[in-house]
Formats: sequence, C-alpha cells, structure tokens
Amino acid sequence: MTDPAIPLQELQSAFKNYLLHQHTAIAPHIVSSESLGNDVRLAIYANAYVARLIEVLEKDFTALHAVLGDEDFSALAQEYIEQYPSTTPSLRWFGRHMAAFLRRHDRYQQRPDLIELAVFEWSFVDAFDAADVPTITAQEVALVPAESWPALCLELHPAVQMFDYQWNIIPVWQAIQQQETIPAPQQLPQPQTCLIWRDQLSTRYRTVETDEADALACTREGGSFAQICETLVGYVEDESHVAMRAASLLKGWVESGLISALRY
Amino acid sequence: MTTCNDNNTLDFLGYGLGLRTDYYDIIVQEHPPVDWFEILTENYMVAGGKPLYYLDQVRERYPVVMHGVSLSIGGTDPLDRDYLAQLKKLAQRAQPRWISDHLCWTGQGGHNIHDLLPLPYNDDAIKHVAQRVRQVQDYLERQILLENVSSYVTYSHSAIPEWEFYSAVAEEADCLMLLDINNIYVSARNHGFDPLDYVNGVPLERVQQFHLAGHTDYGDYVIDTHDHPVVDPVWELYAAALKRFGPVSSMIERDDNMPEFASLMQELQMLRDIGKQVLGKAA
Repeated sequence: MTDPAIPLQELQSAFKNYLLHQHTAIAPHIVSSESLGNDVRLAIYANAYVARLIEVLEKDFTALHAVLGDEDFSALAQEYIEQYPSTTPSLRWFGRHMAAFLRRHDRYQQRPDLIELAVFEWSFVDAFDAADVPTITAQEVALVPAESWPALCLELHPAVQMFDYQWNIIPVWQAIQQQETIPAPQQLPQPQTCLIWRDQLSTRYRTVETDEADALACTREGGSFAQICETLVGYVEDESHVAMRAASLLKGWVESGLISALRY
Repeated sequence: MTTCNDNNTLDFLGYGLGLRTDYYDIIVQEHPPVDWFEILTENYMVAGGKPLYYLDQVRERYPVVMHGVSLSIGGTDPLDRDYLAQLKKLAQRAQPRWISDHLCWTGQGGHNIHDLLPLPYNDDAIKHVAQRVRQVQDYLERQILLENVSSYVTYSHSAIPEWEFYSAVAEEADCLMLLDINNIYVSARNHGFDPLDYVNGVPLERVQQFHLAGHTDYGDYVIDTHDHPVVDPVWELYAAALKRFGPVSSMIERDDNMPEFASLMQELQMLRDIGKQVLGKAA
C-alpha cells in the first residue's frame, strides 16, 4: 500500500492546490476507509480552511458583515480568500487588502460607502496593537523654549490613523454597535476626516474639523510648528489667532495621547 | 545543540489553562487558582496594545508557556527566519518555561494555510522534520516541544503508525513532546487505531506537557474543534496517560464557544482530581 514515489514538497503543493484551488491531484495519495472516502476526508480540510478565514474576516469587518448580511459577506469573503491567500504566519494581517479588494471588485467598486467602512474597521485593527510608545505630557510641552517653537516638530503615536470619508459610515457603524437599524448609505455634503487613536489600551475615534485635519496631516508629514500654523492661516479670520488655534489643537492632541515625541 | 535540559524535562507546572482574551480581566483582577497559562504565540507577535499588556500582567503572577501554530516544522518552504526572530523576541519578553508548536506543516509556496496539516509517516519525513527541529532549537538555544495533531487523512505512502513517526522525530531531533490527549482520541476514531497503543508507544522521558480539549463528534468521524467540554473517553485516556508518564503538566484548551470562566475552572478541577487520584496527593 505504500507509495514512496511522491516527494514531500510535491505532496504539500498538491494538498495546498486542493485547498486553495480545488485541484484534485492530491486525492490518489489519500487513503479511503470503509466508513469514510478520501473525498470526505479531504473536504474536512477544505471546509475548515474556508470557514476559518471567513471567521477572521467577520471578526475584523463586523460592520461590513452587518451591512452586507451573511450571504453576500460570505460570497465576498470567499472571493477575497481566493484572491488574497494568506502569506503571513499570523491571521492578524489576513484582512489587510479588504479596501483595495473592494475598490477593484466589479460589484462593490460602485459602493464607496462600503470601501470607507472597510478602511474604518481596518484602522481599528491597526490601532489596537500598534507599538506601545510613551506619550508626551503637557509639562514636557511647557519646557519647550520660546525660541524653539517655530522649528518644533511633533511625532504622532504609532496608533494614530487618519482617513477621509464622504459617506455616513460613522452613524452606520454606531447603529451596528448599538444593534439598531442600520441607516441607508448617504453621501455627506462635504468630505470629513476621521481620527483613530488609542487611549491607554482602548481604541477611540472622532471626526476632526478641516483645519485640524490639515494640521494633523502637516504634522504627520514632519511639518514644523511654524508650518502647522501656516496651514491654519486660511481658516481664521484674524491671522493673530493662528498661533492660539495651533496651541489649542496641540493641547488637545497631547491630552488625548496623540503625540509621542517633541523634536526641537 | 542539542543538549537535553534535565531540569526542563522534569519541570511539572501542575494544572493550567490556555490564556484567552475572554478571560483577561477575570485573570488579572481575580487571580484565579490556575497553576500556569499557555499563550498562543502568534497572538502576541504584535507591536503593542492589549495583547502584550495582558501578557505582562499574567506573567507577573503565573508561569507561562508559549504554544505556536505557524512554525510549519514539517513544511518544505525554508524555515521562516522572520517568524523565528519574532518567536525569539517574544520569548525574551514572556520568559516562557518552554516553547511548543505542532508536528505538522502549515503552508507551502509562500502561502499560509492556518491549519495543522499532517505529514506522511515515513523515513524521509522523519529526517526532513528532525533536521528542521534541530535548526530551530539551535536558533532558539533551547529544546522545543512538538505536539501531535488531530488528523482526518492518511497518506498512501505512510509506512508506520503515527506514534512511531512522532517518537522517531523526537528521538532524532532530541526534542520534547506535547501529547494532546484529545488529538490522540480524535485521530484514533478517524483512523481506527487503539488510542492506548499511541499512549504506550511514546517514549516516557520526552513527554513534557499534556493538552486536553473538546471536539465535535459526527458519528463517522470526529473533528478537533476545541468548542466543547472534554468528553469522558478523553478523561479516561488522560488517566491512562498519567499512569504511564507520571506527573506531566496538563491543561485544558478551549478556543471557541467560550463558556463562563467558572465552567472552565470546573474542568480544571477535573484535571486536578484525576491527577490526585492517579498520582497520589503529592501531585
């Protein structure tokens, strides 16, 4: 009954191609017993493979799942699994292509609300286990000498995520969390920016004003405090208020734990 | 390597549980009487946040062991150096009493299957796996434990029983063994062998840890689902294993359909009771 001919690498390749692509070249190498054929035995692995990965996507994209419903989400997840087989030892990263996948999907590329929802949910995943880095306190900010302020650069905490959105994804997400009726997709009058960060161990989010979004983007790109102030000029009626607005934003960022380093 | 660490081999930690997120708060706030915890290695291979916070908290009070699912020690892709580096880094933080993974393969051609896929039981596979285990042990500078997996297929070119294969790998690689009692039961049902032959066929001196878990019984076959309580035949097999191997650190694995913590503690008490019954009060 033994068949020593097939090298281990070929055997594993054939098994994998069965799981990923339903190729049946592996079948002759699997023994059938009286009670259980090799097709049933192999199917146990095939079913487990798909079920496990769908479960991971359901966990990371609970809102997307809720909006689509079980049937459509399952179909979507199976297409995703075929297009993006896992290439990392940890399932933590498996869903990272979801937004890109939706953007190219025949059916869902016309659903920017779903793409934004996927971006939103994946931002939580990234914020959840981002590096632990100490955050700056108000006392440390107070120690910055007056002459150093124009060149002062701020480093954002690794958990900080930002993205722009144009659909009512926040009320949709909130309704799902509260197990309430999910509102219909609706485009917003103006694009918004969402900020996601981690407060101690808990992930948080809020929508930010346009001037704050620009200031945060400038900060992320390594802009100095003087450059941050420049981004705010267009948003205040009186230019003398720019520094005050910038200082106020910085105070809020420090209090929320968004800033992990001051460089000057 | 590989020198046999006698202290490690003889280390009896008592009766433990798998550390799962559902019970983080209960564990760090109430410090339940669990002798030790096993962490799922990959869940803590992250940069920061809750997983590492709770790991540090648990480690302050309890001995911890690390249990991985992605080493792919039986795989034919080169060993994943990045994964091994992360494993070593996590071990420096967690200071586990030991590190285990599974006697299986989990990926091929750069793809991760995230399942514990069985190997053919023959000489070529023994040599292949053993030399990879030695590489890993050299890199980690410690012996590792390999666990027997539940399986649903037999390859036509398997030449020996699973327990002979498992024992031969352990001997040739000079590694230790994590004997999963439920997996023996599941595979015995699926392949029609006597689970006691398995228990009696594994070398006494290499078994460092036992796993017990629940499964789902479909009549013609059994699937290792870790979503039910341990069943009586598995408890009985555990008692038989304890009788043969003596005090071996034992734990309950629960991964799905998570019950109240109190009911897991009841299962843990079953472990203790059987331990006391078989080994005497000392254990």
